Amino acid sequence: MKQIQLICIVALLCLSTLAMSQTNTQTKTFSGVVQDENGQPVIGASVTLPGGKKGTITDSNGKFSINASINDVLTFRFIGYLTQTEVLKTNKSLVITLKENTQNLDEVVVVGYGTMKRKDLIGSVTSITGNELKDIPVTSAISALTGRLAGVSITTSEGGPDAKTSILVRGAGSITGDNSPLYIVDGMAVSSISDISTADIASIDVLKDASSTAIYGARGANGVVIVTTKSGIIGKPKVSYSGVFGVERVKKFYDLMNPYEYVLAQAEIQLPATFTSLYGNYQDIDLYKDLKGNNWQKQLLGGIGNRINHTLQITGGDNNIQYSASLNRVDTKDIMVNTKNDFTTLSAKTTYMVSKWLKLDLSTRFTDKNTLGAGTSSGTGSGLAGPSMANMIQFSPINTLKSYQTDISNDFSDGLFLTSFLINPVQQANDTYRNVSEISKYINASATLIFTPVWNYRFEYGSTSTDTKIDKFWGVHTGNAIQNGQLPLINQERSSVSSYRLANLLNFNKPNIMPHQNLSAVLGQEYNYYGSNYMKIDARNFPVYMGATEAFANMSLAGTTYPATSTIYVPVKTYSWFGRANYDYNKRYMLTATFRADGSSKFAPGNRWGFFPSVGLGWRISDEKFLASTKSWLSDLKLRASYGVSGNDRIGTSAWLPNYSVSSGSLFLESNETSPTAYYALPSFLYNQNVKWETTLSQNVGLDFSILSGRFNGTIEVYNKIVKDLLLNAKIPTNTGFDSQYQNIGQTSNKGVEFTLNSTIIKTNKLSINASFNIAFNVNNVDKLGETKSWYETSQWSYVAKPQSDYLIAEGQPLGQMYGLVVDGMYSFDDFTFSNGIYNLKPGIPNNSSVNSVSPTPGTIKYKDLNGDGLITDADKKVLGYAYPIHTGGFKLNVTYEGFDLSTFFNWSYGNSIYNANNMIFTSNPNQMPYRNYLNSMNSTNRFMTIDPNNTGAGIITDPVKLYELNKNATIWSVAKRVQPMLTSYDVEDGSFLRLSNITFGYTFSKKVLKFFKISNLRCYSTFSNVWIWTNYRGNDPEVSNSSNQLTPGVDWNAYPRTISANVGVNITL
Amino acid sequence: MKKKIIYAFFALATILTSCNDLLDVSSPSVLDAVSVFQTASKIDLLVKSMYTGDKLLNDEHMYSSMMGSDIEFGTSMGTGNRAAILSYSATPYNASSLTTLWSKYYSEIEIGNQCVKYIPTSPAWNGADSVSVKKYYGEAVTLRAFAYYQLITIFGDVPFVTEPSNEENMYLGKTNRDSIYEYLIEDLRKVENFVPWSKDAGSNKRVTKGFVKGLRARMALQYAGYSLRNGTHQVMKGRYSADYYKIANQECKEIINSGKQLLIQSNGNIGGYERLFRLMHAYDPALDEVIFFKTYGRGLTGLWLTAPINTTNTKYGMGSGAPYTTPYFYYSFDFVDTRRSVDCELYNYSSASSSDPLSKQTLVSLPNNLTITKWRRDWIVPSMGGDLAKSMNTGLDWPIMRYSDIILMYAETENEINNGPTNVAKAALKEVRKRAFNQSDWSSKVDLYVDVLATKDAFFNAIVDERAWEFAGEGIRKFDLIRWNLLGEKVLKMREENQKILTGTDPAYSFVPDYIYWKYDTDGATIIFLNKDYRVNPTVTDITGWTKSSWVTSSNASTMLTSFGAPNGYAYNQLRGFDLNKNNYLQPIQSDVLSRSRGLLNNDQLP
Repeated sequence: MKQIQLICIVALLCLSTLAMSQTNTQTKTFSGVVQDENGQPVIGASVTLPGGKKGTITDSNGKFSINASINDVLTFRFIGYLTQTEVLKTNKSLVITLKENTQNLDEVVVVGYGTMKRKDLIGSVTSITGNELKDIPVTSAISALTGRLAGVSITTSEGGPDAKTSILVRGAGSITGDNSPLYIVDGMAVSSISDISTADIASIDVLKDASSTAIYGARGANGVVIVTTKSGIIGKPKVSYSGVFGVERVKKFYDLMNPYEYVLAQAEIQLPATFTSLYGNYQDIDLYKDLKGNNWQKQLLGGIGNRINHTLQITGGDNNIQYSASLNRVDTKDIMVNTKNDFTTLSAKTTYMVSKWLKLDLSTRFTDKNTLGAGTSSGTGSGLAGPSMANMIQFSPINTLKSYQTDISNDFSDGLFLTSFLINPVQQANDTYRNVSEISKYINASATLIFTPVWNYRFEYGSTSTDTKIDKFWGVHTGNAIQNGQLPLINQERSSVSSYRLANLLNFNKPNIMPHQNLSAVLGQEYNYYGSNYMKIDARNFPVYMGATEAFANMSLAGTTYPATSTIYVPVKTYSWFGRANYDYNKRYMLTATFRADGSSKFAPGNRWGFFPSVGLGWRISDEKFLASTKSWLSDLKLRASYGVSGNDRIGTSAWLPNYSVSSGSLFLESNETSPTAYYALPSFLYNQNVKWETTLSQNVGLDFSILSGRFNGTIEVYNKIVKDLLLNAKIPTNTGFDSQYQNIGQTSNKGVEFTLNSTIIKTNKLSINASFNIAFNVNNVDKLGETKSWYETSQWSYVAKPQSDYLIAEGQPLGQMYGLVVDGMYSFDDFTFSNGIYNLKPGIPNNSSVNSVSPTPGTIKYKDLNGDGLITDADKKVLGYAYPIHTGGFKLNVTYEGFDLSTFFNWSYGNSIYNANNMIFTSNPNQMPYRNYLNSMNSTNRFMTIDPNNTGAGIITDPVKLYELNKNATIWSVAKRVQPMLTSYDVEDGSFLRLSNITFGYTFSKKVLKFFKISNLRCYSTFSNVWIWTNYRGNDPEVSNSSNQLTPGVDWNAYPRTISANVGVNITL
Repeated sequence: MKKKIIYAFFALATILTSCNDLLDVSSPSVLDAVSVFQTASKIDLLVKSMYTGDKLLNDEHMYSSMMGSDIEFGTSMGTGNRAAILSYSATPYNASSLTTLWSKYYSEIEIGNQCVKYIPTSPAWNGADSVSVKKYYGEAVTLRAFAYYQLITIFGDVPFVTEPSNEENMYLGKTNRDSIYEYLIEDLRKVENFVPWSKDAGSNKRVTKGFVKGLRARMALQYAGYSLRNGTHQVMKGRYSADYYKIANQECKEIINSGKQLLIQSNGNIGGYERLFRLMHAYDPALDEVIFFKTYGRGLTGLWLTAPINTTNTKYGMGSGAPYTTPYFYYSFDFVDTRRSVDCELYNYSSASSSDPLSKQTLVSLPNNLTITKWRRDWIVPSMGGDLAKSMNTGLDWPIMRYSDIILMYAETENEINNGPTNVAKAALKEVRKRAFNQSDWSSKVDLYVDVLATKDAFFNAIVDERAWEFAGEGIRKFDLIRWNLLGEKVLKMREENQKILTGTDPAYSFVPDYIYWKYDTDGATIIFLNKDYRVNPTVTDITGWTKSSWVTSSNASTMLTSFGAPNGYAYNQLRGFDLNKNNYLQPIQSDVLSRSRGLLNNDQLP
């Protein structure tokens, strides 16, 4: 591959020898002043001659002077203002008034391998500028987008620092593991954009329909998110600083049983003998009423987190060279004990006009990210190594009777807890060390040869590399260590990812190619390479006394060292040809045609190439004569329609090849070795030679309107997105020896309507009120599923006794269907006949022992027998909820008065359900294990009791008459009687919400005052995020989805709670 | 000018496209199907994966499916997955271990199928490494057969595939187990000469000739014996039952005659049976006797199952998860049978504490704290004290097949084929019993005991008993009882006999002590019992130097009975789902497996 790169560079140099001559003309000096609509001078505005020939910038009084000839066209630019041109007529002094850019029609939109003006756009593209992101105190640009772009839904898996953020553009189409869009940063495809500082972002454009994504062909099917970073601006060097300081805390914890309630529950669960030895006699239970107990949630996550964010930016340039550089540093201390992270980015971007015909763009970005802390899902395995979040809820709030009597011998030594898979969560967090350090480098370079104003050629080269180092240590009190002989153990992982791309682009741009007709086109070719490798050292059984630092420093002290594992993954290569032509007649009738051919190494020869054409038509109705009368108020009205194909190859790199890789495990086949040996292992999937591209057909019709010179503008779009030959890692019968196989199965569709409205309600010199609103409806459907027609999917949250088959995927039904039993309260005394101490179900009352593992008695959870066969089985399950919402949206209101500004942002989701796994596990008693705490909804007031709280001395009551009397008002099952966790209607909840996600209040100092201090801009603000939420959801937060399986979305399990935060910040520009 | 540019552009493009291999990818970490079978060493690495802990006799299997008989109960008695399987109460929804072991065994079979198909096509098959490559082939065939054997004993009829998985054989219904057994038993015959005897190889950790032959015998016996049939739910023998007794007989005879396997005998200090298990605890392969091991290495891996000390902190380390047994088993032994003190001891360990740093041996309490003590921490050499003591794992290897099994199978088949015990059958039984008793007891306990077994039934019953004493806790009993169609009968008998013992008054068990007298040896930690098997004269109240602890006294008998023998008591609860009328010997296929099968699989094995 190196050779190819070399050849390209040589070729480029050859081309660059094709020199072009320059001409000189007679010039005069023109001077003038640039001001805004309020008559204030605009400082630092750029003034350029045609062709970017020469230029200047305005001084501190907004004045400029420039050498030019008559009839030259001067261009005046300043950020936030519309670009103005002026034809030089006479020698008189010019007064240029720049208008503020309130409408977005002239906004430049990045469309992939080029840009377009929004008003000429045919495809469906939604955008946000860096300006809108600047006040949002988040480290990830992606989370800032939540609710702001119609049709772009963003889900953060949980509230924590390393939460995964997933983006869905127009619903989930593909049902493989990955529905995330393609991320492009300055032309380069990257795996994530979470490491880009928000301060560096100039704009984010999301391409939604095939007409716009088809240029990305293979990878564009799930939409394309294009991030453009800030470039240098012509003008004198401008230094700006922004700093934000914020604090955060958890908004809501689970309401748990208090120590007294906890002990009371244990009294019912444990055998009387065991209970008495641990907690004392029944009649003394009241003692525990005085105990406060440990609130593990507060101890683990109750801290106040803080974050400091500094950004320093320098930008400037002249006509020949423009530069921008920035340094960003974020330090965060998270709410969880021992958790903090830091993040540093250094980026630089330059554009150099070497000569009239050669332009070079060079940019680089370096990021360094360190995260320290156990994380809440530090052990994702089942059992003891399971998540500490569950322990936060379930771990006993008190330490037996020892809380009173220190000399008692029985207490919760580890052993007692381990039998119930419980570990002190605080101890575990303190004893776990995890440091993730990630260093990324991005390099982008391009050379543009400008042959004529019509033709130019660009060569692009980009490379990225990311090195990740993960050090993990588990001390003796962690679940991992306990499962490994209660001895410390470590893992050290190193992984590196590197990729590069080469592209050749030929651009043609000819306005007025024929009268009133404009044509522009791009033809290109691109090659992408992606490689990665991984190494891991696993050393166990360190001496008990060893801590993390010591263990990492002395790995040879490990009792057992596993062979270091290393893998070079099969690389991914794609090779593509593409082209796009934009034609318009009078800017009234527009046509865009795109074509791309992609070859991917992920498929077998013969299935490698995919062809992705698209076409889009636009009609500016407002330019038609019959609408001439409306011109006074209807500034712009454009109808556009597009149809196209894009693709998806997001499967494993060698899904089509039988392959074997080295693994190591507990193999001791030679005599007496103590370290495991290596062997060849099969992958978990069966290869499939026939696997091929998944294709997405997308139809889109949009109407853009702008009323009263852009005072109101908006878009309505209707789309239909059909995904065919779904690439699915399909579950296959395990008698094949494999779990799954990549197959092209079936078809899904997403249909929807999106509406966006931006308005400037009031606009005076002093006061302005802007509002914007977006809403998106999406209907998802599985059209075909091949021969299978339907299957059940098991959600991928980790717990020892999680229910199986809790999602239903079926033809003709939407994705994300939660599937389970309907709760019918609990068994009552009327359901049984009682004789000889045994409850026998009356005829006709369904028996649920096969799904609940115990014979029902009064107080046992009861399920509805939907098929009426008298038994509760899988056949009684039904769809209980849908993970995807009916509509989502956002609403923003900005008010500025004099220097003050206030902005609020709301976002919502309506009609989705949440699989509340927390609720399921914390109201049930999997495997009848003692010592666990429960949600307070299971307290003695609500639940079916077998001990009388007012007469605990009487012990466990077995007499049915007394039990009946005691439980007349019980509303929920007994703590011991929901044994086998099954997904039920009790655990599926409405996840609709409306969140006031952001309030920002700021003040911008008057330029007049600042001038005195030689400061050109100063703004102070404070912002509050996650301020309020309106929801019926019982869990911590409805915006959650932490199932790792795309087919089982909407699970809330052990999520790191979302925080409320308050921030103050300052932006200064010198 | 313009043309030049365009030409340049296309020239550049052509350079790129002309690389035809542009989209070909490979990685040095990943091997394709051709290269993996090229050389002996690579084939070896692939065959090794068949021995990994999650495939060969996987842990889920050991935890959940090998116990639940008249002499061994499972380890945990919640209502969860493993407990459900152990207690015959698994449903298609509650036993994820069954899903796991189903897929693990089939992934074992898939590797086996690939090896069986491709190893003979390898250039190494006839090359310099021919002997090794054929050995790997033999191992693959054998381990594949073993995996099917395990599946059949748990689920009955199962999908049967002998070709590597592909589009065509992905969806399969069940195949009659008789056909599967017949195919595999014949298959094994062909490879017995590919693998060496353990003595010749110096190892019993990989498949040996003894194991190929022994597995043939074990599978032939399972085939020839009873099993619960799918669909009809009848309990029937295999269709050519008589022939397969002969196969088993022949294989056992050949192993015996080869002289390559021996019973570990006494070294003068300790009995042979105890010595065998002590060797295993010293990580000695016990090559003479153990035909095949599932290995765990000496490190801190391996099963908790191998650690029967149920306290959390003793000087020997933590323990958990031993199979439980009952007084019935303890008192079924002849008093002088040396196997009893190995299989089931009456002591446990107290937790170490500041007052008792040594963590002494303590008397177990009846009735439900008796465990199979074949594996015990204090026998491990070198001792796992110190830092290692907190590990539940011991790294001890688990014997999958022992020579005494071959001898007893031989005796059993002789009796079956000849319709009564032949002299060689008697001699075989005697050989096993001789090792179990001190020489001074041989005349009565070995010769006389065996010689009076005149009829087929009498000899058969002796074999049934002998195998309980010999293999307790090794995961063999349950499947023996099933093939004899005795599971129900024996479980009922266990419940009845325990009842008799615990009443403390039943004349048949008048020897069971009401009080046990015990003391510590001079080390102050090792327990010595005075009267394991007799009642001390009731008029004696105290014996100087001995501590008196109640055992089966009439005063606590009723308490024991309620917690033990009652419908919700221990002895019932451990096997609570067991239903004699239903013959529920087989386990349900889990719903996850069923839902993937496009309706081709069902649970027709469940009555």
